[in-house]
Amino acid sequence: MRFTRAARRRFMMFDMTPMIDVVLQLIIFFMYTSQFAQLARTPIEMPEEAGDKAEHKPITLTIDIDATGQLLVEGEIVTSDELDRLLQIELDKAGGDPAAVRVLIRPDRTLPSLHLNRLADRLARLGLRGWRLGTSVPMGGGA
Amino acid sequence: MRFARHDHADERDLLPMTSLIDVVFLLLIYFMVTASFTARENDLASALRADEQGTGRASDLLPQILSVELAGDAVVYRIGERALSDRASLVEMLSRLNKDMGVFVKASNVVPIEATATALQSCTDAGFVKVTYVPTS
Repeated sequence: MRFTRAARRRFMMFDMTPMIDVVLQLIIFFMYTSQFAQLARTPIEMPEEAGDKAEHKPITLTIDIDATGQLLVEGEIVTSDELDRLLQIELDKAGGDPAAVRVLIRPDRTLPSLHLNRLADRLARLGLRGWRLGTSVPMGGGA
Repeated sequence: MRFARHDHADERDLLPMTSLIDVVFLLLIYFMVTASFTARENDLASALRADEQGTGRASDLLPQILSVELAGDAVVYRIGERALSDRASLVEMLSRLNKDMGVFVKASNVVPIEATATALQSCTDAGFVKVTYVPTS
């Protein structure tokens, strides 16, 4: 079968609209899911510091200390005993190796350091010395 | 009526750009709106690398201790007998210390956590890799 030049030209044309639609849907999906991950964090006024420039390893447990001094894990208020239990679970998951458990503390910046000291002491008793202090990167500053 | 061949060919070869422009426009709006709401977060290390590995070997070197205290309403950063009140002088003082020995940071219970974070950040800015936070009991 022999195509005319016009027919050949018609075959060469791509309709980009469905592809753009699909790409848009994918982009919207990924943007929204990443946004939800950000929103899952408890809003806390953390100390404004640039932070550590060193390469970070993944955090295994995030502990928030809100403006009233309450401890929160994944947005839920936890007592000291419950926190101990959660930390013990993380330790068990890591095969009892405290170095493999990476704790991030996100404190309210206006709180007295008493709350941080208490928590650090609690972590130290479990052998967890490699915790990190969460900071809010100031506008225009970067790590 | 006979059209010139090149006119028809040009019309057929054009890609519909309208959808693409719509997408780009939506993305631009999205990033402009969200950029102002999402604050960037980072963190500061609180322990020696050696401690993280669990070696816990006692050092016979003289420890360098940075204490964060409250004098009246003002925060004071104390290294030995030197008392400093601002970040610039603290970083300058810390940068003169021996980096191999590391530094211990100790914060009084009454000091705001923001000042404690400033002390840890100053140690990092001064070039210390080994920073240990010592909780005050």
